[in-house]
Amino acid sequence: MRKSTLIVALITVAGLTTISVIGQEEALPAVTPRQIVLAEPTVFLAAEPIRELHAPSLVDAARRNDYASFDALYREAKRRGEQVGQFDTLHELWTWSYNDPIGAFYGSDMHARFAHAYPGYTAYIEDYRIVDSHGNTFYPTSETRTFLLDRIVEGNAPRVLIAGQSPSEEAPAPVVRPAHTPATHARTATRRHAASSAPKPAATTAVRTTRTAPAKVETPVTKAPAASAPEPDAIASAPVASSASPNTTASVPAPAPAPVTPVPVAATPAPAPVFKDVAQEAKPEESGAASRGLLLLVIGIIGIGLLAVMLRTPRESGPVSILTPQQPEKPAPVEPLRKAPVEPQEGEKKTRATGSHG
Amino acid sequence: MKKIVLGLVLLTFATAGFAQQRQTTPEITAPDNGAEWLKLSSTEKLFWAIGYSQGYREALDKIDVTAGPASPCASLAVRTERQTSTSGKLSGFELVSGLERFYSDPANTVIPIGSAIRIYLLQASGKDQTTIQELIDTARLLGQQQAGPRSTP
Repeated sequence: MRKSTLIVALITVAGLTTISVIGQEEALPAVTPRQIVLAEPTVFLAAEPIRELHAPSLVDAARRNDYASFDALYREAKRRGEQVGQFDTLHELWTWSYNDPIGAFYGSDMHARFAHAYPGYTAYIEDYRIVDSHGNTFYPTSETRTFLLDRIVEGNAPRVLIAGQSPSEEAPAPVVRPAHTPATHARTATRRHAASSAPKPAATTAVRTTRTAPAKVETPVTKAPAASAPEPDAIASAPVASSASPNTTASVPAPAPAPVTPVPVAATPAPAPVFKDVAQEAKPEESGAASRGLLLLVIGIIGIGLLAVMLRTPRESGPVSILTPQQPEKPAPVEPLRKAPVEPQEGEKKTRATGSHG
Repeated sequence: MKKIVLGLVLLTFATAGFAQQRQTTPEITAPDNGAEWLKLSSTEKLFWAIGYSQGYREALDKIDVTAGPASPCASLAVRTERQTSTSGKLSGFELVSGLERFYSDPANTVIPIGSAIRIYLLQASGKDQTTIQELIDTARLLGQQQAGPRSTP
């Protein structure tokens, strides 16, 4: 019994030893000391989104209707010499709108310029036009700004000269007539500004919507480009974006660089005022020729008159007409002598004074 | 049982009818502040400005008629009219242009439109810039307070 117990104990010990030896065959994983890397600490807050800071762009400022930021960014970009020529028209329009008392709307003149420079503009703005009670048509600046911004994003933003610019940009407009005296030029500039800015509507409350009178606006719109067609210098549009679409009729292949000053130099203001100027400028010559002709005519008439007086024959004393022979003139009747009137008596005077006959 | 079914059917039809009517009824709300103002088209802005001027004048005339010509209400109306009425002072075009200018600063879009008109009129009358800026700051605070409970559902 004791023997068997010993055998069992030995077997148990041997088994346990074997098992432990087998378990020791697989190597334990190497224990490496933990290395603490002292990197720059970064804190991520899961509850708060990480916002990337990016500089505001001109397009963003225009979309947010933020004129102050847009103006500041535009001027800063200009100062740095960046290529922001595609924003020129939008900036000018917005600045003009900001400074004009009724800058929310503009007139047909500016409309004609935009229509000439932008192909889809007329169809776009047609729904927004307003005709006041005097028949003047106005177009909203706000919707036009949206249109211009979309064209800028597309990369098709030709330059359009807006009314009411700074004098440095408006002064050199000698394309039509270089021999401007300062006085006449100032007058022309004033007139041009007055014509191109929206005519001030009366403080009346009666306003008609657009679709009521479609023909009223079309006349100047169609007339202006046709009139300006033979004179390309008068067109104040030039492509600014390099990717301008080829269907822009007023585009010139020269890429408008950042110095925008040449563009207004080459460009003259709106066609309508220009032609008005041309008409008025041509007036002195025409009036001189007309006055000369009038003078000659007067001299001729006087000469003919004098000739007629000199060659005038004396009047015949014969009968004027055969049918009605002249009757011999009767002697003028001689008044017969009469008695001198006798002075009335006292009684007669009284009677006469009463005015009765008896 | 039949009555209950009939009642349920009628209720269903009535609900559908009301819902459809609510969808098709046209509704335009007047702008309260600059954010809503900027959503309007220029034609809407213009007509709103004209209607605002006319409505303001009508209201002041009603105060005169109701309270009597020499009453404190009438004097208040006259004083208020001098300050804030646009009727006879501005055309609709000018008012729209002024508001466009005022709301071209995004910080002003929370300002109620009535306050904006008052500030614009004071600006146009040549009030000093310090007072104007104080009014604008106050109006911004008021506008944010008004917009606060409206924006939080």
